[in-house]
Amino acid sequence: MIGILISLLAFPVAAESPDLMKRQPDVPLLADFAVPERVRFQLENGMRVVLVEDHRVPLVTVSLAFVGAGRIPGKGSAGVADAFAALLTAGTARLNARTIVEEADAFGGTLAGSATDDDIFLSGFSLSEKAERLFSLLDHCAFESTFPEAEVRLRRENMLEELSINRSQTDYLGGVAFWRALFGDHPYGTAVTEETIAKIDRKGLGFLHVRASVPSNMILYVVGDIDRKWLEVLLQQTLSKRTGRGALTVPPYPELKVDSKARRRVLLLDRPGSAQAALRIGHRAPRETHPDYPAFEVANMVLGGSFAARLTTDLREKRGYTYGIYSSLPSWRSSAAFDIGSKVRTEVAGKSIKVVLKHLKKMRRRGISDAEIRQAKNLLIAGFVSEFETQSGTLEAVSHADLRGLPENYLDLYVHRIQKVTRKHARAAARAHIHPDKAALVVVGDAATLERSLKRLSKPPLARVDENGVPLAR
Amino acid sequence: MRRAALAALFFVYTANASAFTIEHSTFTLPNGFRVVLAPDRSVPVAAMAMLVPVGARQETKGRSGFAHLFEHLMFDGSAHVKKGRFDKILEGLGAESNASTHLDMTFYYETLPSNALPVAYWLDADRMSELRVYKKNMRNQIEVVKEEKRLSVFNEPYMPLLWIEIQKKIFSNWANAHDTYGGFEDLDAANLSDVKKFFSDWYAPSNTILAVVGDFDPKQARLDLERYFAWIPDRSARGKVDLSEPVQAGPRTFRIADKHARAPALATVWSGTPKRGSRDYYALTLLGRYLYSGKSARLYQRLVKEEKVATAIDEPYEGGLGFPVSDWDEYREPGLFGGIVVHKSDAGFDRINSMIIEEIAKIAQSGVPPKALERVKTKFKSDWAVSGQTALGRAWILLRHAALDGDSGRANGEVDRFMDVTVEETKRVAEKYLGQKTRNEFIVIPKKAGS
Repeated sequence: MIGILISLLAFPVAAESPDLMKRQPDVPLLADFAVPERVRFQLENGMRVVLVEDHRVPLVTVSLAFVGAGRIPGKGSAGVADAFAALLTAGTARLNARTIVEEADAFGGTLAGSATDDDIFLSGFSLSEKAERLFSLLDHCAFESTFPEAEVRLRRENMLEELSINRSQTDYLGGVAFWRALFGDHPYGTAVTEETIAKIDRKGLGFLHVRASVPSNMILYVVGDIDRKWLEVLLQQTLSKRTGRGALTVPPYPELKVDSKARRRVLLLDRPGSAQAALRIGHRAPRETHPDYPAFEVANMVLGGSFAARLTTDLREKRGYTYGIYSSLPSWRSSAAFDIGSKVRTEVAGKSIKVVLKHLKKMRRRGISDAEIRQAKNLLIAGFVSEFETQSGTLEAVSHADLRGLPENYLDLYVHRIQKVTRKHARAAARAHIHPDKAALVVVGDAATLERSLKRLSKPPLARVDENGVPLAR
Repeated sequence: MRRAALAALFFVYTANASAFTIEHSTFTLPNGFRVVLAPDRSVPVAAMAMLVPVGARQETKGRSGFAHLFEHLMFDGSAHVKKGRFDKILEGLGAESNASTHLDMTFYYETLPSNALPVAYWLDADRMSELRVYKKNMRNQIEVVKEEKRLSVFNEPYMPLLWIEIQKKIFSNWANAHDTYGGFEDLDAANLSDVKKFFSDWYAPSNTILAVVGDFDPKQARLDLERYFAWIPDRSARGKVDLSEPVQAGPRTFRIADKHARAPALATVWSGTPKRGSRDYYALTLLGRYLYSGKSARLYQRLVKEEKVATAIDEPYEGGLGFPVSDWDEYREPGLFGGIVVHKSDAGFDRINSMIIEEIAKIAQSGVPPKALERVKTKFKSDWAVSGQTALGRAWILLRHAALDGDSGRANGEVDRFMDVTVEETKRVAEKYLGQKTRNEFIVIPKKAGS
């Protein structure tokens, strides 16, 4: 028996604590993590299928990707792909929006569309015992949606309503101006406006549907309690029957590389009376395919990727300028960015930007400590492996790597690549890919109070932008 | 590199029995800590969780809010972990931690990459053996919990009703009637010796259940738990608190002014609900989901869609068994059943009320319609599966059954007990529990501050 039984009512319990309590236990390296196997096959109509068998819970999770369909609407059509995705479950000749929801309830899950600037998805899940009904509804909505006039109108109204709510929020506006600064009028850089919403109509959505619902341009991702044999049976009754092979694919946009001509510039969006200012700071950055990427990810984590990172420690804990500040590396099929965001008190906005720029310079010039590197790697690895706890996380990781055109073994080698990053690598990556002198500095807030403190932050004169991020004529 | 399909290691599903099973083992350390181990090696992630069966209802009169205050103090420094270090250490490892205070329990957890599991053992053992509570951090945390109550109760529409008034008006036993956040005068009056007494009364090893779920070797985990936890001396924990309630004698109506509400609301709440784990418990839980849960819920369809008199039946809280402050999963009698309907100003609460009574009467007449009951069961099963995907989700399932049913094994087979509910049973529980005599109506009237 270990331990001695003593009955004590005092507080704290005055028992002798054993030696092992005196220091924090060591943490060994995480054991090799085998990302679950992805089985790939192709249907006769050209549709590709990626299956990850996961029998841990009696669920099946699916996502049907209309590959490249997010790019079909083209320039000046922000929001069209989103509306299309949302309306995939708004009605077919046989079912209306309500019966579609009821059917999803009946298979114990959901089915809903979503869109990015590159792809469109129809995704959902069900109890595995009801997978037949999930596949049937997925197939039906993906190919038979009729985009009923009344639902299209309702969607437009809701989008206008959402836009007006979003525009009342400084951080939304900060994002709009930031992406515009990085990508100009490229679809990656533009947000929905009243004009682009007005363009959404039944006819256009119908054309998009014809162009997008081509089996050979689709990938079906399946993660769940289902084996290949049963999956093939379900597909034979549904998605395998669809035709349209050989239609044009939608090529990725040309790569939008780091802009070597970019200069540091301040963009200010006026929200009179705003007590807080939203900040976005950053520039284009290399994608996951770049050899430096793991080291860059570690460096970003050290800088602002977590609650324990430098930016939070300084701006939140030490100075109390903000409740939160983060830096991240969002990416698309054809580009990526280095992106810092925060909301600060108006009177310290200028100072906050200066402090952030100081940290960027410090990342480039000075070292990163062993403790910081260790912690950053732990966080990245923990975040990565925990995605595979759930079916939706697994599906997300697999489809993301796939649709970004990353190598087949990208996921398998992820943990290994991060573990290999050294202080030297991370610092070199920071120096190569963090550019305070090329950064767009976006500020949304009360211009009258802010302008003075922002003027000296860049050589080009401060530019005012409108709520779409477009520079105002001076 | 090794590759493997994610195997069915713990969540075994067989079509014939519809069994949702979490394979696990249990043992008790010499000092009384009960331990539940549920290994699953598919992903290198683990959850360490502790459940102490003390919540708001176990508090002493004049010391309301202590269970919640104590939850905060558990993160605020212990023998070898200085104030502020607990979170920092876990963050550095890519781990997360949090806790929650319920009516009958306080639940603590860490989720972390499995290589860091020993750090969670160490942190939890340290705070279970010797908390460092000083006057200054106690005062500080008292202010924090008061602020939490101001923000999430006093500053939000309908929350004073849901968090305070319903229990206060319906229950007559103080243990059931007071709220989890506690009265400010009770919190302000707290002194260090109260806090120490609370710790020694309730946070004893023999009163605590530990669960480790996820990627670990059970033999190693047992050794580690013995090293870190078995040396902590047991203390005599307090016995059970009397929660008994008299039977309600007749219907009651209360009017509540709410200065943050923009629309009027009607909460209908029944007392005298069934014993946890009884057949009636399962039937009434599913009946609640039929009435209140989601867009296909009967009351949503009737009041929002068909009659267009209400705007929400699941905001801010979804109704059902355990309403308003607990949920069916953590439910224990004496409890309540009911829900809140936020309605249009011109609809009038009488109309809303009669529609609710009518829907209940239909169920008492012929039960939940078979097709609808099937749909509710499917959704229930699916929700259960979704919640069991993560190590933390499984820890919560196992610990709540260990604490409330005295047996973590009760978690396995629980889904089947819900699936066994018949239309006839839903009819019977509607008749038995949702009658006139035990009904309470709360009419919320929006009232601008100062008017």
